[in-house]
Amino acid sequence: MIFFLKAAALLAGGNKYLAHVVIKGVKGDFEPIVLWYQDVYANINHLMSLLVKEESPEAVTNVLQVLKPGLMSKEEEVAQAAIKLYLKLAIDLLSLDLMAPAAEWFFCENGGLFACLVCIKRHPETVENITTMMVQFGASNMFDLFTAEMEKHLTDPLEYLNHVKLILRPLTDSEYSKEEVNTLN
Amino acid sequence: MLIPSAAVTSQKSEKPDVDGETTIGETTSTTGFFIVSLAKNLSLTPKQVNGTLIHLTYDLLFKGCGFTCRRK
Repeated sequence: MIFFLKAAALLAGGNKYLAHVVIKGVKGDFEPIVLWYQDVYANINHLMSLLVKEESPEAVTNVLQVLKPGLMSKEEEVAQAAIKLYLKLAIDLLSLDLMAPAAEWFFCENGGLFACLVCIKRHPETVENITTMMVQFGASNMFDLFTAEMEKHLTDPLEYLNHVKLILRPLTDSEYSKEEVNTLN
Repeated sequence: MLIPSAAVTSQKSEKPDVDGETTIGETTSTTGFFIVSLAKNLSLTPKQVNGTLIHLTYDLLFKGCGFTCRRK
């Protein structure tokens, strides 16, 4: 029981203990963090069944929020594992018609978009997958996503332009964004 | 994430939805899912957590929600 109490402690206080561990590693060791994300990925069907059972938009946003520190981790391998998990989550949430609370989480203050932008800044190599994730979670509001919403987080014009420059190529290559543009037309 | 009592206990039985034998696939709430997966993968041992953190968890999980639990 004591192990579970300590695990629960990591989730207390708005996940701040968990965020600390995921971002900085367990005493600098990131392997357990990568394994945790891989384990969640392996059990994603069960996680989805729990979300359906709980029937709560808050449960969706809580799950997405718990996993968010991975996007801001100092270790690229953790960030890549987190992105892979989010890409799968987006597909599953869409199929279960649970994308509305997910989009709300994505656009909220310190939500998914904020974490994505931190990830690009820390690990520019992740930009391709992060762009796909941004398009998946922000599909409901694509125009604002790359304009007003990004500008909210990137108040320095130069920083904003640098991010746009990084995102532009993967965005034009993305099948998701092409579909979205075709829909708009 | 705040830990509301309902998230870690079964509202019907008032028993914790995780115990020392629970596997990830047996969890019955999303919070339980993360508690079990974190405990498993981060190999949490008593040495790694100080008393304050345990007390914080204990209060959050049980004391504040009227659930009685005797610590070992």
